[in-house]
Amino acid sequence: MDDSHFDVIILGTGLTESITAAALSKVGYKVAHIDTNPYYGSEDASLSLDELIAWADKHALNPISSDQIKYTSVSHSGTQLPFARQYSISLMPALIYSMGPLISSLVSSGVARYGGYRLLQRISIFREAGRLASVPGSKEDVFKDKEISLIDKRRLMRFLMFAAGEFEDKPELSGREDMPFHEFLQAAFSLNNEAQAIITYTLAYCITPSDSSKPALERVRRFLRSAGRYGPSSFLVGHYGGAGEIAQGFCRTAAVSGAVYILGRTIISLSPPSSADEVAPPEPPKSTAAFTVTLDDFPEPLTCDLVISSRKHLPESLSVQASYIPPHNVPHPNISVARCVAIIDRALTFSTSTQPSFVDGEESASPRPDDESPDAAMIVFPPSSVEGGSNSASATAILMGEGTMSTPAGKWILYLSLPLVGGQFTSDQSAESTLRPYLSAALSFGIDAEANPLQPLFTLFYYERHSSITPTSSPNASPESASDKNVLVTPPSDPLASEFFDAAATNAEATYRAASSFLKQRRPETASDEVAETDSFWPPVEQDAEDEDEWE
Amino acid sequence: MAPAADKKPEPPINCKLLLIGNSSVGKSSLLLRFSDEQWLPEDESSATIGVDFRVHKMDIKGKKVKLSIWDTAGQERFRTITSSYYRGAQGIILVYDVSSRESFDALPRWYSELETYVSSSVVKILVGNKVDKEFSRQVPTSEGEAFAKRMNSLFIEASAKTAVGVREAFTEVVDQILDTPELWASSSAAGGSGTAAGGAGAAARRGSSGGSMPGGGIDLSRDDGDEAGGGYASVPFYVPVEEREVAREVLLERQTLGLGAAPSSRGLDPSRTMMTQRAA
Ligand SMILES: Nc1nc2c(ncn2[C@@H]2O[C@H](COP(=O)(O)OP(=O)(O)OP(=O)(O)O)[C@@H](O)[C@H]2O)c(=O)[nH]1
Ligand SMILES: [Mg+2]
Repeated sequence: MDDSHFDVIILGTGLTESITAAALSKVGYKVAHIDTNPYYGSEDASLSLDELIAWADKHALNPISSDQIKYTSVSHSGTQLPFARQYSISLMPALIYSMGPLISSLVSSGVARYGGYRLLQRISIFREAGRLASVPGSKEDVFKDKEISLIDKRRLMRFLMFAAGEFEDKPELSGREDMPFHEFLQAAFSLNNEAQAIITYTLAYCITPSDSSKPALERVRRFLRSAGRYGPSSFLVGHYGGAGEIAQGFCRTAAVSGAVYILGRTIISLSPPSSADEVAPPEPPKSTAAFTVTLDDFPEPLTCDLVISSRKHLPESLSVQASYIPPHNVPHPNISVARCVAIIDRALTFSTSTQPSFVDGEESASPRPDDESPDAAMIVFPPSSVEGGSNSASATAILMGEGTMSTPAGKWILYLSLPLVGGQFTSDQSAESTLRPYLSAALSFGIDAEANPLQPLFTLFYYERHSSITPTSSPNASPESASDKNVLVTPPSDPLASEFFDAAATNAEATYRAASSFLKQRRPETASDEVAETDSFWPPVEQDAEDEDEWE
Repeated sequence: MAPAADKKPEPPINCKLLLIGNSSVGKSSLLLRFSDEQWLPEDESSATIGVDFRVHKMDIKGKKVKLSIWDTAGQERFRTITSSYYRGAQGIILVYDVSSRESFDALPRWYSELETYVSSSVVKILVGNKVDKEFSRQVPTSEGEAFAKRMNSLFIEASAKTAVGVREAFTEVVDQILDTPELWASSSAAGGSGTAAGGAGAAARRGSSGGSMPGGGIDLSRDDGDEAGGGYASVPFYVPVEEREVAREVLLERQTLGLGAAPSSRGLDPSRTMMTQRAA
């Protein structure tokens, strides 16, 4: 058999592409997975501090490009820090819902065992400078909250019960599916502003108060149902920087199933079937000519029947014939964000004015003293809460400490991100000036910050701009074309912390299905036994020798 | 020989090793020799595609040790070993070919990767393979030995072909791993090394530094219950009555996954999961 021929060549090792590679390899397709970067993860990578600085310098030098994703207004503080290699800094800081497509894929694929995870310890909502409120994500929390009046507690409880259930056909929702969510909360549940803000931004993860009600409710339900699976929090964080490490886990699984990995090589040429026809000797009539991929500093060209590419990796020459898999269940594809990465050497304190008024039986079983200065936590800033910040969008600050295995001892990474909506921030405003107010607000929670202001050791600011234009070949593409197309482009991911992971898993499943339907019809004899039998995304995890649970 | 302790058999200690080094230095051949006592003639062996791993059980110092050995072969030509291979490993076997100066000169690069990804307590052994090719040796023993010493590694010369030094190489690594308590303390935080069941691994349950949540690190494939101290296995309050069925299904799924239940504790039925998830 030809060693350089593959069923699929996948370009880009972002999470979506990596999950796709694992799924295709596992059912027996021969996969080559290529990334032009010298590291795994593409735009979702986790980088050491020196890699991150190199990344930033590269994009600061070269801000204009025709890429689907652009990083602009990149600036960082100059200094390198000691133990730079012990940082694992995520380009895509995100949280994993304990129930959802990503967790399903992690468990079903066996990739879960390659990585470490921990619970997000705290979610707080920013009320004003120096004041946070913790988010009541459970009945206990609602009961314990001293600040909520009894009547509001009842309303809140009623809402939580409603949102956790099958609300689709309930009278509260009918006719209000598209109503701005905060209006819905007022109209259907008489919730006050405070409760509206908490629900809108920390349970539903809306960007603006006018996000539609039905999808917002679906997100609240996901949040509520995720609580309790692995612990009180709905969210997990991945060790070593999350997304990049998890992408590598899927790549590792793909490699175990025989996928070949090539990183850090430039693609010199990727010739589409038409031109290959002229150059390459004619193939047997049954299969038309394959793609030929030539890589820099690589012995021989690779060939394949199908190319799957991330938007960023897609060679210009293929963009016309490509089939762009539409995003499905991705709340904010293509939304642009302002980001900041700050490294600090003092913990943030999350103590709030809200202290438990009593401790009930179940909770007292797990005292959490370190919760006051956690290793994995998030602050949500609703619109207009920060002076000089956005009037229309909510921002998040995610804190990761040593317990997430992504920093050296005594250091924390603070990730800020603000979706760029509402047109408030013009392109001549720098990412730094857009996010400074949020950084100051977050740093005001540094332990002892009043007496001794907290200064970051390192900062990086940038805009991550996603093109909303899909260079689709033509809107009225023929219906059968989807399974004919031999260039598939993965759907855009969702850059928001709460959505990224599940969107990537959902996108990967859609890509996998498109790819396998193409491959099945093209080469019915290949791997068809296995492929035909399983309709699920992942074949059952075989009791392989790798499984360490059994001794006998 | 240690007198047999007449207690119930202790669970095996899980131990993860990683083989690295340039292509065709003989990593796969060493592994095959060690685990299967076999040797493939030169013309029958081929560069490993993807990744290979073997599980090998051995008794050492009266303890049952279950080794999982990852052979990262082939990949490294393109520098594509994922950091997640390194994360779980307690021992690293770095291989060069004594008849290839080039493979020896590449070692600093391998060590610098190790520096990035593994803690300094991880046990390293440098193996100079193919000593049967004495006539074409390019790296003197003393040079390999001195380098290993500088890099804080054990050292041995071996031949996968004649079996010289092969068993010793693996045994020495495992020996030292068992003597290095830090490796067991950090391995659960590193995740995925499955030390929970191991004797020495019991200490590992302490979790990572400063872990304040129950369990600190969470092993997803083991799901909840044990990790969360059992406190969260109940149906959450906010699930209304009509939703109990779905919740129960989720619970059932957890029990199937739960530790000590079926031997196939990892054998989650994916179709079922997808259904459950979709309902959610
Ligand atoms: N003479 C001799 N040849 C060996 C020895 N070990 C391996 N070889 C030969 O060296 C070649 C490469 O061996 P492999 O075990 O495939 O090398 P590898 O390090 O796994 O290579 P990759 O999988 O490409 O990384 C094969 O032809 C082996 O037969 C040895 O001890 N002595
Ligand atoms: Mg090999």
